[in-house]
Amino acid sequence: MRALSIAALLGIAGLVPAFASLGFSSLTITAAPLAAGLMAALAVMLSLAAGTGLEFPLLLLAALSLALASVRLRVRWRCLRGTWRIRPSSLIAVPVVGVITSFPLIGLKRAPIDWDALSIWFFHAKWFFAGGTRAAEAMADPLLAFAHPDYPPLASAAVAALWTITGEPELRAAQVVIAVLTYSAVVSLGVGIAAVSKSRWIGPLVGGMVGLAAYGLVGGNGTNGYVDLLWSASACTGALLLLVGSPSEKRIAASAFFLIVAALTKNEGLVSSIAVAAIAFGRLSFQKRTNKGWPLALVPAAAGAWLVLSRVLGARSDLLESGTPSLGRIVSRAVGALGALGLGVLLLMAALAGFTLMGMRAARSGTPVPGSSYLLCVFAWFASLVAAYAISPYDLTYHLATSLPRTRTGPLLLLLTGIAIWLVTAISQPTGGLTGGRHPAPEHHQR
Amino acid sequence: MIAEMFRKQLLRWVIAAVALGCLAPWVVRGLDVERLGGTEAAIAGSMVVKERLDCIEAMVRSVVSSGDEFYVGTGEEFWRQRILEFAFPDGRAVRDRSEADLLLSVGPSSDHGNCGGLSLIVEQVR
Repeated sequence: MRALSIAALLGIAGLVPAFASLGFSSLTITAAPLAAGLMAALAVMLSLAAGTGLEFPLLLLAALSLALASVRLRVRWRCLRGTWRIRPSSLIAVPVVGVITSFPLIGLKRAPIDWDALSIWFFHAKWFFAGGTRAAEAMADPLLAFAHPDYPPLASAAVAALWTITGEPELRAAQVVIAVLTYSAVVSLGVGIAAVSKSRWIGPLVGGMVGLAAYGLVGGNGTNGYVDLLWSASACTGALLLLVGSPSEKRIAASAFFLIVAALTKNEGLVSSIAVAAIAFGRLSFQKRTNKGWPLALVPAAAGAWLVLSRVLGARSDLLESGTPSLGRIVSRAVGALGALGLGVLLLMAALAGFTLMGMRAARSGTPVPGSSYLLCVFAWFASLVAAYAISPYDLTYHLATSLPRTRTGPLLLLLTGIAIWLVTAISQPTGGLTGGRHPAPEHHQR
Repeated sequence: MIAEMFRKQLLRWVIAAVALGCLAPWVVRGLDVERLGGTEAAIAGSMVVKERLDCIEAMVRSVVSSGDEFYVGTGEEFWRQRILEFAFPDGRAVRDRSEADLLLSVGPSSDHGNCGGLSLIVEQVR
């Protein structure tokens, strides 16, 4: 019951900023908790910069998003003159994906006791809850370096915002907040996949399957206060909206929202989101549509703002500031990390690459399928993962054993998302979809 | 013509079958209650650990509220981190041991309460 109350609070709090960011879309509903988290993250950044408590920045940003949403609503209302409608398949996708994906939330029955949740995410939330000045002191304190003070603030900020409202820094609530944010990101990804299909049921069912598969990748780490699935699902939604089919202006803006959420959630999300934005911008340049791509600039801007702020406050990264390793060490560690990824990853990559080759005609004809830029994105994410292990100061065997099952979540989920879109396309395209017939881009995000 | 249609249909179903084969194992894992941590044993185990953590936290807070400057012992890293977590932001943890009034660590003895076999060890260092 308490978990439902927190979910409802996050959803309601995020609805206005979600509408301000995404406009009329089924994603506005699914991503509302993420929008609340994003607002909390920006509030924490303001609080850190100004050395104030969290209350004033939260109120300020809530008022700003309300103003932005009002302007957006007025403009839309005038343009549409009552012609706005919701596609029936979108209406079905949200509850179908939502219900199927809710099963793994059974893990919320466990107590909030896991290592990184306590040492990093809940701990940061305590800093932010204590106010900007205390949080800045903690971030610069070498005694607290074990808590990775350089990690981006979104998940902890959402927790701190809730604690600010309730007045009680309580770990169970922290666990539920992060689980709700994660669920929101996973359902958004499922709904994004569903939108690729014209079929009323196949898309939502496959979207729900991907939601389950996403939790299958992380197991109990999807509900215990860890954030790996949160950034991964957000970044995959951003990549899907940008790199599958030809994105409209509205889809580009929506993808920027999800990429910013991922970038402000974890360092891996930050690197991966910038990679997606860069690849998408290159693709738009190739199509001579760079004037449509301006929202993508917000992704490196948000990531850069956090990087600068955290470094100015004295937070240090354990990966980047442990001296310059030799080239030989980097290469041998990269080979070790590649080997640890395993045969399963290689087979999934082969499957996606095979589909891309077989369906090249489909991609050229406008059918929304993952093409070469999507594949490039998968490679870029795996490359950044291997690079992180290559430069890490820790013993490679120890580092891989303690983190790889979580850090590979993003690239693996991107692979599974691509494969799922091929599945939807293969099942639901009646004629020509895979073999070159004309197919309009999904209208779901085009209004 | 028929051969071409057959080729197109075959391509569709090959892609669908392979894609389903790639997704299915992960979907099954997403339904695995044991792996998700939703079994009775997992819940009970997590509750036992949580009770010990809560107990240690209460002890840390009771010592920290005495107002003494403290230094966290270099014992097991897990407990060193827990003490720092529990003490912040009320705590006055110091970076230099020689400046501390108290040395805090967690160990098996019972000189300051007992949390399921674990105790907070408090040494007067000044």
